[in-house]
Amino acid sequence: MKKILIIAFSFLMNFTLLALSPEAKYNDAHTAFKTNDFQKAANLYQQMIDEDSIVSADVYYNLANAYYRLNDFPSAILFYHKTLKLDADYGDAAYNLRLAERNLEDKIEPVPQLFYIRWYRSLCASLSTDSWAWLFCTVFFAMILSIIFFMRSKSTELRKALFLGALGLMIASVLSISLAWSSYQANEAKQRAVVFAGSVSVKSSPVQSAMGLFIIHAGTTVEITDELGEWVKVKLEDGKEGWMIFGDLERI
Amino acid sequence: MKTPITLLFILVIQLIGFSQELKFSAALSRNQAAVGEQIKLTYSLNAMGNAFSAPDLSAFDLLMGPQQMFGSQNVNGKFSQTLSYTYYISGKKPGKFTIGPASIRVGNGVMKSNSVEIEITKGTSSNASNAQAKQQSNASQPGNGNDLYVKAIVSKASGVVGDQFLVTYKLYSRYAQLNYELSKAPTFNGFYTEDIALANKPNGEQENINGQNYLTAEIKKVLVFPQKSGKLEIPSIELNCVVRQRVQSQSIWDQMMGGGYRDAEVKIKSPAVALDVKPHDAAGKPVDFNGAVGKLSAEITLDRAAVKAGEAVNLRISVSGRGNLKLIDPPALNLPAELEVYDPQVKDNISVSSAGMNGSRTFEYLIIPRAGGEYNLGPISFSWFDPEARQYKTETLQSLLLKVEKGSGDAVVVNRNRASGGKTKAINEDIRFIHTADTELSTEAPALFFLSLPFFSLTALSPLAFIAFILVRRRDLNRRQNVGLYRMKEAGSMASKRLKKASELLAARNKDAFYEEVYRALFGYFSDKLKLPMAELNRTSIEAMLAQKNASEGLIQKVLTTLDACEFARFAPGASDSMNDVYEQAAAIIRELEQTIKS
Repeated sequence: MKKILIIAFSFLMNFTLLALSPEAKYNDAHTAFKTNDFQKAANLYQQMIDEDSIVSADVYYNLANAYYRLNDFPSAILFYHKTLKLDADYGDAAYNLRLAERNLEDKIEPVPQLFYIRWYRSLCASLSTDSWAWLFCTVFFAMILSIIFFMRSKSTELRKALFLGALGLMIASVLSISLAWSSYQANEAKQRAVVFAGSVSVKSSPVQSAMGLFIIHAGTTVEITDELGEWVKVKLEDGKEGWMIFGDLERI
Repeated sequence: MKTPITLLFILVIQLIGFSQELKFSAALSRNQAAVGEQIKLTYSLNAMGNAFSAPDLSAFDLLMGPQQMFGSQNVNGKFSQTLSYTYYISGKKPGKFTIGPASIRVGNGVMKSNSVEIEITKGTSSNASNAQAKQQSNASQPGNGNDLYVKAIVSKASGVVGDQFLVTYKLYSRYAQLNYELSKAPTFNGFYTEDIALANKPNGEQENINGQNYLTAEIKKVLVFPQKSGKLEIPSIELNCVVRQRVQSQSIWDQMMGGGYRDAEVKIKSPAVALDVKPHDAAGKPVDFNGAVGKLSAEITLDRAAVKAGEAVNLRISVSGRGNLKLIDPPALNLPAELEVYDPQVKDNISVSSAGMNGSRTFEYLIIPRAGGEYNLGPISFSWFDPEARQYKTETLQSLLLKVEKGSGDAVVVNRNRASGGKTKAINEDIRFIHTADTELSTEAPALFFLSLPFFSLTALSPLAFIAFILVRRRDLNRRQNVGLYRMKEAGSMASKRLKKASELLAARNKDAFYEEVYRALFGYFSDKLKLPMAELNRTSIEAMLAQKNASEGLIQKVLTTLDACEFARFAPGASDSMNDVYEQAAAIIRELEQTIKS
């Protein structure tokens, strides 16, 4: 009986020794990255995500960098996107994503938009969805406060100022809530994926024999707009649409 | 004068005609033959002769012969005659044989021919007639099967991108002559190619393949370097060949002369060869690897270690060995930005042969330091892939010091370079480094605030606060409006409370306090009931207000007398007997007024 206990105990010890804590893996991965052993770093970061189910923008970002150094650009792009999905204000990830996309075979030009739509889009992208939501809450509260003070105040000057202030805050709150909604639609609600197959012929309908419309290559980011069995309908940034097999994609 | 010249001329002609040397030689149709294969052995003499004695041919089967032939020719006045003896023989067993000289009597002397050597190899068919029959049947369909073909021979079947492969297109023929022309040269896709000059023997060489003898010729030799990975194809070559076939002739003369021939044109094409090209190993690939593959060595040198500012320095990176030298791009240098670096000059000393691409390629970077100081040019490295060792190799120079003395006028140059201002100059772009600060390693994604419960409650908080504000404000206003009404309603009960107190004082006979209390009860009552502030309350205003409220004349009179009595009693002491009356009257007034003034 005692023997069995000892054996069981030693097994347990081994197990704990073998399984590194996520923190230890994180530090080991940094060391590996700094000594240019990118494969090891990538393995460790990937382990943290797969085995320890860590959800962290920093881990995603570092893993993407390791893949970038290994010239595995589709994986790098996937994880930069995942970083940004988790934390839209992650500036370094956005910067590196732009560099990684330069190495792709497909250069997809977004459909040109009218200037005010472009302005609105860039304004929308300047803050994360949550930042816009917080801004809305603050501005909306300030508007209510200024209305209350407007109703209470007796002096005409003050009332005039408070009225204008409330009007301005109302416009600001409408703008911020619509920007929050647009940002939500663009980032959170959108189903996006990265192409992993070397080159895929995108079909006109979800059958193998359908006509190929255009060809996209690994690393291209697409938006999933519809699903039908193993087929998904994808939309490119330049507005092209078609069907492809889901297995060729990796969801962000 | 004319005659001697003519004579001399004739003499010269005669001399040329008769100065011909006597020649008796032996010749074989081939130097190599399979057992049972037909070989033609010919002895020829350029004169008349007799008593021909054949050599020992016991090692061979004699198929036919000797056929004796004599011919004479007169070409441009030159007379020649040929006597030949022809044997058709075939080898009995493999080995090297020497056919000894034959002899013939010419005039008074005896001439000996040279001896010839032949190699008999193992044949597929030992039966001579069988071989002949085969040749006959093949003759009707020239170029089919194994008798005539062209093949691409690749030095190895697989390798990495940038590795070198030697491709040789070779023609194999079982026909006696090689007559061919290129009809379609191969076009290489996905390769860098270098043609190799051929030192080809026009008659080709003998080669034995599976016991069959072939005449072979190298058509084309190419050194190829695959530029991409995957299954690549060595393309085919197309040739137009002319083969000489023997045909069964009707004429006896032709048969006697060894049969008739017909030339036939045959098109042949080499089969394409697949080449398995692997990409470079991802593991251990150096950062500066730019596609150099081969058995190489690199040397990095600086021609001078100390210069004056403004003087040129040469940085030389020399790559030598056997590899894809012509495909090596200049390595990117990461030199200090203060140095002016010009595009490198490329100097080649490369030879391309069947042994591959050998030699050296040298990159010379011209560097001009503009300012004094000590610069470290390192680390400079050059990496290549060695396909034999299957590993990457790197030549690295960790530090390369360049000492620059201040030259004259270098400050001016520096100022010009820096004139753009304090902006940082973007030399290159690279990804930003990883984040190594401690981070929260949670296993859950942070919840989105937008459209969450906290978001909605926080948003709802503001309107709720507003509603609360409105409610409070309305209640306040209501209260302010209703205070008068309330007091009017409560005036009667207030007055009765005071009168009750007065009745206690009456019982106690406290005269001053009693009158005071009655007076205050009445005044308080009027103030509340008539909604008049205390300050505006006096005899006349009470009288006017009561009249306005439709009180009867008697009641008004009664009010006034009671008020007078109270006032009088308060300031004139002594009269205490009327205390009861005053009390009764005050109570009655309030009772009556309560009924008269409802609102």
